[in-house]
Amino acid sequence: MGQHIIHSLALGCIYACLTVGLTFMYGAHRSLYLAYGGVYALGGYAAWWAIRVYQSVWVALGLGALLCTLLGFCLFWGLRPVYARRSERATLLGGMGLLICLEELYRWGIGPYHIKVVALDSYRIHHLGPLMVTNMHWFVFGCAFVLFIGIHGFLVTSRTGRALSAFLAAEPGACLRQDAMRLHLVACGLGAALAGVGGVLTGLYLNDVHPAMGTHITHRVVGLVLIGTLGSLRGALLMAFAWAFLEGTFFPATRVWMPPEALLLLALAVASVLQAAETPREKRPRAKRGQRPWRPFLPALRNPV
Amino acid sequence: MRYGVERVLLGCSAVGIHVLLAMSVNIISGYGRQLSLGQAAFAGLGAYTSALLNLQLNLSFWLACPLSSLVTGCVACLLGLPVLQTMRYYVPVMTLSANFLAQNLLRTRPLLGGYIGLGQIPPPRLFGVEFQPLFYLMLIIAAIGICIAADRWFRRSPMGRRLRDTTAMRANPPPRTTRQAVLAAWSMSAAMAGLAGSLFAHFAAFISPFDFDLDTSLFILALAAFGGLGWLPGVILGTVLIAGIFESVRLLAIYRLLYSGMVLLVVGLWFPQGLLRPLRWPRVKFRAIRRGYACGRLGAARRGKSTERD
Repeated sequence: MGQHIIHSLALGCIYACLTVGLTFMYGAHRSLYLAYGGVYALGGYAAWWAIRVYQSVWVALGLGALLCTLLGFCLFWGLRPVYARRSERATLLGGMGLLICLEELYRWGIGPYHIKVVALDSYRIHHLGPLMVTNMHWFVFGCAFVLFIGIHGFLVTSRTGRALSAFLAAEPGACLRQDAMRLHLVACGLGAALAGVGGVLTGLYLNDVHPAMGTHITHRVVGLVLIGTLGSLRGALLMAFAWAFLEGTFFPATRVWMPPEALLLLALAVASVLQAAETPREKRPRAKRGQRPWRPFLPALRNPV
Repeated sequence: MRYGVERVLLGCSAVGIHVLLAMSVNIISGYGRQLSLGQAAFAGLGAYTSALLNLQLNLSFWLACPLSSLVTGCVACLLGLPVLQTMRYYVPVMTLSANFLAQNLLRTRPLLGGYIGLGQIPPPRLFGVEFQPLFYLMLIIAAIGICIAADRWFRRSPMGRRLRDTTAMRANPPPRTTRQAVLAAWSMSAAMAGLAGSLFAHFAAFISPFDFDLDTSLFILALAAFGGLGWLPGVILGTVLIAGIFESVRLLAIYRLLYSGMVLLVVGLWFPQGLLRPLRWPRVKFRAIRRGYACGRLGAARRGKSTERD
């Protein structure tokens, strides 16, 4: 059981990187970014290449984040003018097309097979009583901890961070004094870098990279972000760890056979019903001066303004 | 010689099944404006239902086929009932997850044949005579005719008109009437996909989980998007053209996913009305002029441009 919990925590850290990154990308594009899985897969391949050449997980981490940020900026500059003029359906179609094109590019460039990312020090095992924790577990926990502390500090203390947090929560009044393009760029850079870190951690922890890894993770990450309320960082973080607990601890420990997608569909249905059961617009209480306005689904998970 | 003719007939039947699937995508993603990324899951449900009814319960094809379509429509309605309450982004994610779930179930359940799939599915029989490729093609053409009639009926029904008049669904949650219309479109689309799946099962005589994976869903979506989502003649024409090319040159099958990605990217970003839009233009223009005169909107500045929509 304890071992399952340790595994769930590591999975939760990876899922959290991805869900929080997708939330930032949503803020940058103002649309659900389905091509996110392609950026994530690039992180995995960067880890594989860096480990092969430099044999250092730190180089892998830096390279993955850097390459994914560059790809994220390139896609942002290329897509933003087009996205602004297109309907929601068209942007989703374009995002899905981009994801498949990136997957095919990896398949063509590197090969269609699963590749092992052998991290040299990943099998050094620390015995903590009945539990076993590898160096890779500590690496994943440490990276995620430092990353989220850093992001939290940035969002809470800096002016840009506070504006970005309000911007994600779709409160236009709060970010009027900031340059909107700057916020878009910061959100895009953070989102893409988190995708890269997520890809690197996945490659190192699960020791497996393949071209379809982005497509296979997309529906889970997008589903978790939707369930935790789109645009909410806390919701994304909470859902990532909840999902990892269910996937890594609950099902193996209780030996209940249930496909994870069935659970995701169920959760999506529940979230959808809860969201639809909101108070109608005309009946919402009007916020007074200095008071927080009315919030939709999961009010406590919204970002601080 | 006979082998060549049979091969052409079989190829045409396969193209016909693709047309049915593309029409089903067009109803939900074209008229309903909700992107369906997992249509193959519903086709798979229809195919496996029909095959199991035939193999396990010895039901005739003529009973199993409509029943499987009905079952698929009902399952889609049950799935869509809660999720379509909010609509924004939920349908693509739900359909994508449904596709992965269907794959998982089809691969792991022994009743469904596991990875190997179900084989020895008998072809349809009429008065004790087994259907030959020509008759099977005629059956598929008849199914396409029925679906076109259903599509036309739906577009002209009050629900279809409501969907047509709704320009965007960013309102969250959307009006109740729009939600009902989308749910109807969703169920109809799934039932049509189930019909196509059932026809495919009896056509191929063997089905496996790999026939209904995500690649197939994206390929069907790309076929519909190529002709222009929401424009039925374009969808049918584009599907016949592209699926015909893929059927006749089997070596291209390895590029199917690449084709899907390129088409979705190009259509999504630059040609939201499809790549066959030039064929559509004169009629749109004519309708625009007619409507413009009727509404008194036409002038020097607005020459029928107002009716062109994404």
